[in-house]
Amino acid sequence: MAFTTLDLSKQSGSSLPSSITSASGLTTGKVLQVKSSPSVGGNNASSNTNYTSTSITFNITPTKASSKIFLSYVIPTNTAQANTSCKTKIYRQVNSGGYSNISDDTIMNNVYMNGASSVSQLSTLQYLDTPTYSLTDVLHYMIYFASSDGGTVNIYNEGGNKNNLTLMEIAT
Amino acid sequence: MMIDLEKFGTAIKNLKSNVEWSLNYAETDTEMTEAIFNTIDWGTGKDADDTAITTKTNPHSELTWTKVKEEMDKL
Repeated sequence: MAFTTLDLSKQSGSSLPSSITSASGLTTGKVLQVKSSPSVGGNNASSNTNYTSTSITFNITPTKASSKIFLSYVIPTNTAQANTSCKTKIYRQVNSGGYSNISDDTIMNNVYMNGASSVSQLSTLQYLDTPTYSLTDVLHYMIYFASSDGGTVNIYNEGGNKNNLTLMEIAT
Repeated sequence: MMIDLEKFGTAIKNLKSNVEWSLNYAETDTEMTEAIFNTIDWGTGKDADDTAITTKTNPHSELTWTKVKEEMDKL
């Protein structure tokens, strides 16, 4: 798609050019706020093949209606057993209404190995969420994780294995 | 804690197969203890969304802290 640059300093008069029909549309896609924090929560271990909660959760209170929330979580993940994968999903709750899976599109197999034992890596989870909320609601985003086959998997937040969580409110 | 958890996972498997567990612990927890053992979320099933259904009440009589610790010490 081709983009053109509009130099407003060369416009005369007080009206917008006829090619712009809605000034309110100019805010679409604008970042309204950014929340970011290193080292959130503690360590988490599991052998459960179904998704269980972690202590890694971050929240944001939208400032405008109908915003989208861009989530970017960098988390240290680990599998402690051969042929085991550490799987993650992103869950959301509005206020204290209970967590539910945002989308199966957020399922990620973060770490896998087919030999040896114990492999760790930083995993980046990014997702553009379209939540339903009212102004003043608090949106909480938590990492859930599972083992692919019952072997032990870990999500760390200690020592040299710290996470970093970022949430951005995007205007629509 | 990392090494302890590997031993813990293996000990559980040795004592009883197909047991699902998960736990959260602090950076200051340097070894597996009975206090942490008592906070474990034991898996009992799942919902339609593949989210685990868990209980903090240990449903496995074979898996007492004493037996698990004894098995860990053999590893």
